[in-house]
Order: sequence, then C-alpha cells, then structure tokens
Amino acid sequence: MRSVWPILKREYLSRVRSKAFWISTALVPLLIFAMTIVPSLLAARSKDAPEPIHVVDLAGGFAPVVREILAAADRPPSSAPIEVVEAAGRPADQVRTEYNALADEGKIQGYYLIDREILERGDQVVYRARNPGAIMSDSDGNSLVARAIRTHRLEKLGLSGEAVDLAVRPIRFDVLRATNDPKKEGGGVAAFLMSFMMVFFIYFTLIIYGIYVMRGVLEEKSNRIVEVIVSSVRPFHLMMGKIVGIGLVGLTQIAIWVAFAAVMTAPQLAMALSIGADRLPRISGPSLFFLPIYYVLGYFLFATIYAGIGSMFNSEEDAQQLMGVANIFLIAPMVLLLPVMKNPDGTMSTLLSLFPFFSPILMYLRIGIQTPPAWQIGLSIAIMLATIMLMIWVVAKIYRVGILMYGKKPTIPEILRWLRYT
Amino acid sequence: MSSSPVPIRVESVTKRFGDFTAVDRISFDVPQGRIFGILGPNGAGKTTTIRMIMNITIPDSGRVLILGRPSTEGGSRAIGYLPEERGLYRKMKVLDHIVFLAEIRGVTGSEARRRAAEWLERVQLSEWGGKKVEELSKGMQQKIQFIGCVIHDPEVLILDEPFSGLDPVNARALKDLFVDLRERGKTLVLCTHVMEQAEKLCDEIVLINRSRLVLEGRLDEIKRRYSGNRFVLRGEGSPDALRAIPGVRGIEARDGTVLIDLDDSTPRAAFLREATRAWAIESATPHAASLDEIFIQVVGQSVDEIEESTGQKKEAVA
Repeated sequence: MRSVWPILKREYLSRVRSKAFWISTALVPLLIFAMTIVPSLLAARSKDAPEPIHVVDLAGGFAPVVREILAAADRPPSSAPIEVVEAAGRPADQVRTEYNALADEGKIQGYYLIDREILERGDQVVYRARNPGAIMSDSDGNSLVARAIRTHRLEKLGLSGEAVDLAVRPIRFDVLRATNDPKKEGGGVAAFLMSFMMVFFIYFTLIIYGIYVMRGVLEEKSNRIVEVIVSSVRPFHLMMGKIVGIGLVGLTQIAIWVAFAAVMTAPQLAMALSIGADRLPRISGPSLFFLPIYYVLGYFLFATIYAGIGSMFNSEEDAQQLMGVANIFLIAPMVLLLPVMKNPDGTMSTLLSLFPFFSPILMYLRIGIQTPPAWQIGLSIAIMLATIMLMIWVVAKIYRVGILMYGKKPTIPEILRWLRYT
Repeated sequence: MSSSPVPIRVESVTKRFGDFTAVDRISFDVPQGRIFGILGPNGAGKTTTIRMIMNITIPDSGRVLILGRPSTEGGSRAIGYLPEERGLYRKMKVLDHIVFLAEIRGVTGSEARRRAAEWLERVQLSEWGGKKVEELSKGMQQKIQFIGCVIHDPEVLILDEPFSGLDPVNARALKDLFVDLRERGKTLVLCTHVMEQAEKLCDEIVLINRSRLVLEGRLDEIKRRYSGNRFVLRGEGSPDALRAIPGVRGIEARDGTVLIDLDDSTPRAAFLREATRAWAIESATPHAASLDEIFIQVVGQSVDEIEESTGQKKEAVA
C-alpha cells in the first residue's frame, strides 16, 4: 500500500497545481454568477426605453377600470409600462391595422384589443405582439387585463369597492411536503428545485471527473511511462492511486465552490434569517447528508469503468466508442428524471433507482423529492458498494494487461481474453 | 561459485498469450557483477521474459528468483528497470519528476530530493530542474529516464534496448556508465536485438529465438566454440585449388581474402603445407565469429530475416 501514496500525491498535486484546475474552478462560479446576474443587468439596461404595451378600449368605460387596477398593482420595475388607450366607437379593423403598424415599427411591444363582446361574456383575449415569444415575460400583463375585465363585470352587476377587490384578488400557490414535522416541510418548490440542481451537479461532476481518469490512463500509455511505473508499483495500486487522487481533486474543487458560495451568500442568508426565512430555498437534510455518499460511490463506480476503458486503447479516438457506452449509463438516468419525479414511489422508479449505475442520480433524486424508506436507501448503497468491488476486480484484470498493450485497437473478444490472463 | 544467492535465477518459465507461446521453458542464471546480455530478434520473447523477472507479467509455469526470493514476493521492486517502451510525464517539472520516480522506488522525502539534485548535477542538467519535461530534448529526456532507474541505487539493473534512439555521443557515455557500474560490483542485464552492441559489452549472454533459449554461456567461450577451425587467408591463387585440399569444409572468397573453414581434426599447419603448393600466401589469421555469424550458425537465419518474417507478430503480442 505504501506505493499508492506517491502515485496519489502526484495525481493530486500535479492537477491542483495546474492552471487548468484554477481556471475551471474560477469559471464555474463565474458562469453561475453570469447566469443569475446578466439577465437582470440586461433588464436594467433595457429599462431606459422599454416599449409600452397598449390596452385598447373599444367598448368604452373599460379604460378607467384598467387605470385603477394599474395604479394599485405592485409591478416589478423591470416590466414594460402598460398604457391604456380609449378608442370607443372606432372600427376594430382599422384600429388593428394601425396597431399592427405601431408594433411593426417597434413603437409598442404589443397590444390588447378589448371590445364589448369580450367585456360582457368573452373567455378569450388576444395579445398581439411584435415578438410573441416575449409573452412569457409579459404574463403579468395578462393577469392584469383579466382582473380588469372581472372587475368591470362585477361592477356592472352592482358590486363595488372591497367586495370587488376581494373577488378579483389573485391567489398564489405554494407546495410543501406533507409532514407533521415543520422542519421537514422544506422550502416547497424551491427545495425541490435545489435537489434537482444537485442531481445535475452529480451528473456533471461524475462525467467530467470520470473522463479525467480515462485521459490520465491514456496519457500514461501514450507517453510510455506506464511500464516504468508498474516495474515499481503494482498495476492495481497505480489504478487506485489515480482514481483516488483525481477524486480528491474533484472534492477539492467542490470544497472551494462551497466555501465560495458560503462567503458570497452569507450576508443575504443572515438577512433572510433575521426577517424570517420562510421562503428561503433550503436543501432538505437528507438531500445534504446523502450528497457526499452518493457522489463518492458514483465516482468510484464510473471512475473505475473509465479507467478500464482508458487502459484498453491507445488514443481517445479509439476509446470514443466504448466511452459512449459508459456515458449512456449516466445519460439514461437523466432521461428518466421526469418519469421518476412524477411517480417517485412507483415500482418502476424503485427498481430503476436500485440499479447501481442509476442510483447516484435516481435514488439521490428520490431522496431529494420524497425520501424513500430507509431500507431502499440502504439497499442501494449496498448494491453500489458490491458493484464497485466487482467492477474494480474486473477492471483491474483488464487494466493490468491493457496498459502494456500497444499497437492496434483491441477487439472485444481480445479484451475478454485478457480477463483469463494471469 | 559464491555462497550468496545469484541476483536473478530464471527457472523454466513459460508464458502463453492465448494460442501464442511467447516464452517457452526458458532457464538461466544472471551472475553477480557482470554485464549479462539477453539477445535475440525482436519478437523472440525477450521483453516478456524481462517482464516476468520484473513481476509485471506472471509466468504460466516456472518461476523467477531474485536474490534467492521468488519475484512474486516483491523482490523485483529493488531492481532498476529501464523498459523498452519508456517515457515521462511531459507536463511535470524535471526535478519533481525524478523525485516522483525515486518515491515509487521507496526513496522518500529529503533523501529523494538530494539524490535527484545530485544526479542532475552528474548528467549536467542542473539548470533544467525547474523546467518542464517537454522542454527538454529527446537525449536529455533519456538521461532523466536513466536516472529514474538508478536513483534507488539498485544492485541489479535491467535495461531493455537502452541504446535505441540515442545519438553516438550519448550512446558512448551510456556504455562508459555501464562499465563503471559493473566495476562498482553492480549486475547489469542488457536486452537487445543489436548484436554488435552486446558483443562489445556483455560478459555472458543468452540467445533467445522464437520463444526458446538457443544458446547460453560466457561470450568468449561461445565465440571460441563457434569460431571453430577457421581463418582468413590473404594471398594469390585460385580458390578452387584450396577446396581440393583434404580437411576443408568450405571456403568463402571475400574481396582479396578467402575464409577457410577447416575440419576440426585437420591441423592448420597441415593445411598450410598443402596450400603453399597452389598459393602465394601473404598471411593467415584466425577468424573469430561475430555474434551475428554465431546467430546464423545456431538458428540458420539472420536476425534481420527473422524480424522480417515475424515483425508483425511483435505488435500483437507485446
């Protein structure tokens, strides 16, 4: 075992000291920062001259209602201004032609034409926009118009004041876990999104660090150092030193990110806690607890496979095909995320999440959204551990022969024959 | 000879890869303090034999003893090994790399650093210690590789094709280093398919061809044995006249000289008496067979011919 140490140390230090490591470590937070900050920066920039949305009253008497609602509404500053236009008595066709031209010239983002029919009994309002794709960001325009129409109808029916307000007030929904323990309710949808993010995080790190391991093995073969090393270090120790060393590089990177995130979010977190952090996105306890466990187990499983693939071939091009097969075992559970999420306790979901190659993603997802019974978690960990040991045993045999094979790309029957070599 | 165990004893090792037998019941002893040659064409099984000595490949049958202990017990880790396929991590710094190679061989900490610096000094690469390996020339990289295999001061060194890719100046320096190491009592095993190199350096050899050991012993004895009763005749006359002399097994005319192969029972003086009748002899010198010639005598083909016919095999078998 003593010979593992220099291998592990070299794998770790040579990577952690490399520029590539620090660049990638810095790049990820920068990207996340960019993804969260840039949209609001863009919005702030466009606030200078956001084109308005027009609500055109063709019926008469609707415009004041809209204005009243607008005045009371607490709209985000970045949203487009809504202007109310009175056009009672004008022919609808003419107004539409006129407004289409305005939208086309970019003077307005879009417009609603409200006629008597809609006000009295209609259940469909059309929003015409220069860019219909932007409708998603203007959804509050829709709800505003809907409220105005309801208010108008209720007032026609003789209601007024607070009664109307109560009737049209929008109702929001939140989702919490069904539990008697208030601590476990979680942050509802936000918590769910957090565990979803964690699943993606596991997926990306497994695939990236797995491929690092494969490249490392290929590098040792292609620069012809491997035989120098295995004359002093058992091939098994070389393989394990490499896998553990690179795994520690991954953990170091994650630790840096977590520390960075903690520092960056600490002030907001403190503030949020002081004002009562009901709506704060929280990771559930089990989610946090099982993250390192599933991450480490998943890493050993896939890193071992990628190490084996690296040992069989002499170049990344040759390895590509088999690497694709290995990648499928990581991509498949990502494809199965939605079906499993819909029915996390179903038989199918349970079986899929117990399949060792899917467990790091699917069982972890189930833990995040609706903690499965303890025996299932225990069983999945046991199955993964057994699979890891089996994979290490098989791959070590392939690795031992493969690292000394140069020349042509081996065929699958040849690789299977290696397993029988002593 | 001595009571201490032989550095390396190979006992009837056999290695098969599928249907192909790479090494077939090979046995030999490497004596202490000598330069020992493992010779043979590419693909003969030399590298596989060495890998079994180094415990990188496990023999199907037979065993290897390192200083009296089975190689499977880790004794081979004490050997300095320079494989034929050798290289370095290109992105590592030279000094760090040597320290790493020392560490995997059990030399650690400050001792590893001290020896690394010492060796860099010795091969005049001190100022390159902080540079990356990829910045070094090929010859410099080979020096680093060599340092890597002697940094733990091993008693036994195994060098597989050590001269391949070296320019004449560096090859010369390496040869001197080998002789120097032998003088300090180290045992060296040289593995090569280039017979001229082995001829100049080795004290003892084994010859391997097509997975089998075909010849072994001290080089001078082998040469004596295979040179037989042969000598080179310089002078004037017809080669045919010589062929008729009793006891002549064969003659071979080379520009201005004739190589005579005499029957072992025929004294050279008797032949010369006969020859002077037909020839004006200027000189007659005994002929020592080269290793290449010995190889042809033993195997019936030259190293080149065999490599040509089995050249493809080497890639597939490794």
